[in-house]
Amino acid sequence: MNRDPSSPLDRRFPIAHLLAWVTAGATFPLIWMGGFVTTYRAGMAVPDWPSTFGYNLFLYPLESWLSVFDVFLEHSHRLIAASVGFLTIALSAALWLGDRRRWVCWLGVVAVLGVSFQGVLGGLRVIADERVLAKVHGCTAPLVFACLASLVTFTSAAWRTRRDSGLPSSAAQGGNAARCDRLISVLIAAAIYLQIVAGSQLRHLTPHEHAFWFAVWVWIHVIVGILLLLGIIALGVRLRVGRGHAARVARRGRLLVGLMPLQVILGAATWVTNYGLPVWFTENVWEVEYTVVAGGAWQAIVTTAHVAVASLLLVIAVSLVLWQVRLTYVETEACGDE
Amino acid sequence: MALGSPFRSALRVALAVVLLAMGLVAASGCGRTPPIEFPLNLEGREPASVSPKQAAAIRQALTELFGTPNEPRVPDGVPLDLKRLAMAAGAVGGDAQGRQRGLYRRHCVTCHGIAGDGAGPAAAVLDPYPRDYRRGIFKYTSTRSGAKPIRKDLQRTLYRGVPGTAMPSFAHLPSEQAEALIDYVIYLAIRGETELYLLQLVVDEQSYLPPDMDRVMEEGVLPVVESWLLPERNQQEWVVTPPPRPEVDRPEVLAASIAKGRELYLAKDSQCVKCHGPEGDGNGEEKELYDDWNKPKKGVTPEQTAALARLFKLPLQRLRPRDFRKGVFQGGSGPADLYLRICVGIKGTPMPAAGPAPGVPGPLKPDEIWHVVDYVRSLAAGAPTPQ
Repeated sequence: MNRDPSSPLDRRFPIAHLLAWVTAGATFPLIWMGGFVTTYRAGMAVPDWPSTFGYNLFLYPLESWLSVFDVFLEHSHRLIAASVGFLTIALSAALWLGDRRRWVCWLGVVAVLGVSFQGVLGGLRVIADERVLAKVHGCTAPLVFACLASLVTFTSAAWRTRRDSGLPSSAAQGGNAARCDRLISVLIAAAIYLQIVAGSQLRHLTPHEHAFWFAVWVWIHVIVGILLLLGIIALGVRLRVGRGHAARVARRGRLLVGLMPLQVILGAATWVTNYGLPVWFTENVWEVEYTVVAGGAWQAIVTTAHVAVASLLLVIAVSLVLWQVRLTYVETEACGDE
Repeated sequence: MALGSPFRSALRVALAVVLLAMGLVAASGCGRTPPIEFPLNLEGREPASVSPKQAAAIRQALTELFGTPNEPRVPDGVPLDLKRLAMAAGAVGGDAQGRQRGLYRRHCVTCHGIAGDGAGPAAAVLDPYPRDYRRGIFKYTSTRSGAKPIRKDLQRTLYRGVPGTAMPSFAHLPSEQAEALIDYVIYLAIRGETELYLLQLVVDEQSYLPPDMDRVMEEGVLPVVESWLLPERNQQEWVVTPPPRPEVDRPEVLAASIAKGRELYLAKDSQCVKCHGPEGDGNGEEKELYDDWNKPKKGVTPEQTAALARLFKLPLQRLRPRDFRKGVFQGGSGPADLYLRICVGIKGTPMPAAGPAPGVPGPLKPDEIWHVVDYVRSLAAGAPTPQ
């Protein structure tokens, strides 16, 4: 369907895209702050919810907020979460007002529900003092982030017009190689999420858990991490622009290739800063006098960065899959079609 | 609608991933956390050897004496601060003023477990395993053989951590919180030893049920408490303070001390070579070394060892004597730390006390210990071995 690009609906559309960017952008610091809350085990620093020590969330005195570190972390996490909630509602409203694609509008509703669910989950974790809910809260956060980030993609002009430099022919995109690329990308996205779940199991330990399960999750995390690194390198090699892949797809592939080694280094550093150098390393490679420092800056930053980069990797992988699918299957620009 | 197709595809992928992850989480036992209780110490026992009635009687006696993980209590005569115990016990939390509670679960339980059994969720992948407090044995102390640590020893380990292991330094912890944790560790140790006494009384000696609590206090609790108080009260007799180190300010004096240290190290009496090897690389003739927590897991034959494994939470773990050349000393690398390790040994391990004790001369005199310290430090610094 031909659209008039100057129609009122279309003019409002960039606002939704901008809002999607701001909302997804605000979710990243929210994940960092949530990570710090877990790293410093400050999840129960504020024992009530949705109030903060009896105060309305937004009226908690500034000096009290800033004076106790654990309270600062938890209350800041709640404030950023509330802001993301409002932004998501605004985004959803903008979509319903400005975007004729109903599935995008409904995805906006899904995002609102996801953010709300995530908030309630965090609240219930506090009210019930239940670490299992903290685990689930940690596992669903990257999904919400991915949902919000996918709205950035869906609301972009490039997505709507299917514009991309170096776009190969439909025949090339639909070939076996492209199918293989898509499959690898989907597996990578799934593996990244599995890693997030495994990491959550390792971070949110309850006193009852049998030592066996921790060891199982450690091994899953290590083995899938190695496979993921190899898979991402393989995908990066396949997605080089010069080989006829769309620039957007190749760019996301490069981002994954760039971030994954960093994530592996962060993972190793997370282990070392929490549990020290492993014996196989000190026995066979190098032993140095190193003492883990509980609550130290390195421990907190490295561990939380590992959590945050994992979410970022998921978002990039999901975006990569979306673009691969978009550039392959959708033959016509359909924004505005009902 | 043309764009519905990528969205549906993405949704299918997302759903598949979420289901896979949920399946894995469910497999590892995701459900509402059961109430926190001290597990009964059945290490090394056939679970069926303790009848439900006996187990219930032991639990009841222990609860009567020591309370629960959420509400600890101490019997009369146990010199532990209940306020500090309350701060360390229970669920993790805090108030608007930053007063913390649940310190043990916040900082320690992941490795040391709720009862201080050294078998917390993360324990199986650690080497060495976290300390099991329930025998009341702590490795790095300044007290003589067989004595409990003094509070200062536990403070040292808490603040400095144990280099080369997962035991972190809690140097950032405010002192009142550190003291609360130390109280709680001692509480768990006294409770643990009392539990061992009760198991012996109720299960091994088949005592009448419920056990006579006066007898439990008299024979179980008070002797344990006394063993904790003894070195604190009689520090002159039980605590070793390294004497002033002989001057080694000139290179030739230090070289002579190192040469003397090497001679003593290689001497038969000191027993160093047996485990640490003639080169100090931890490659002595004793290869099968186990600490007191792992010895019960070792059978005479591999089959026996395999059969024993199911009676313990953690698999058998071998000790590795320190390779001095690497310069990593778990009990601290300062001269005074090394002096103490040689003088009083490492408790619960085959590392013996080589220093003198009241009425016992010991293989090494104080000056000689300093020479060995100089020699060990020279190996760590990579100095050439004196011939």
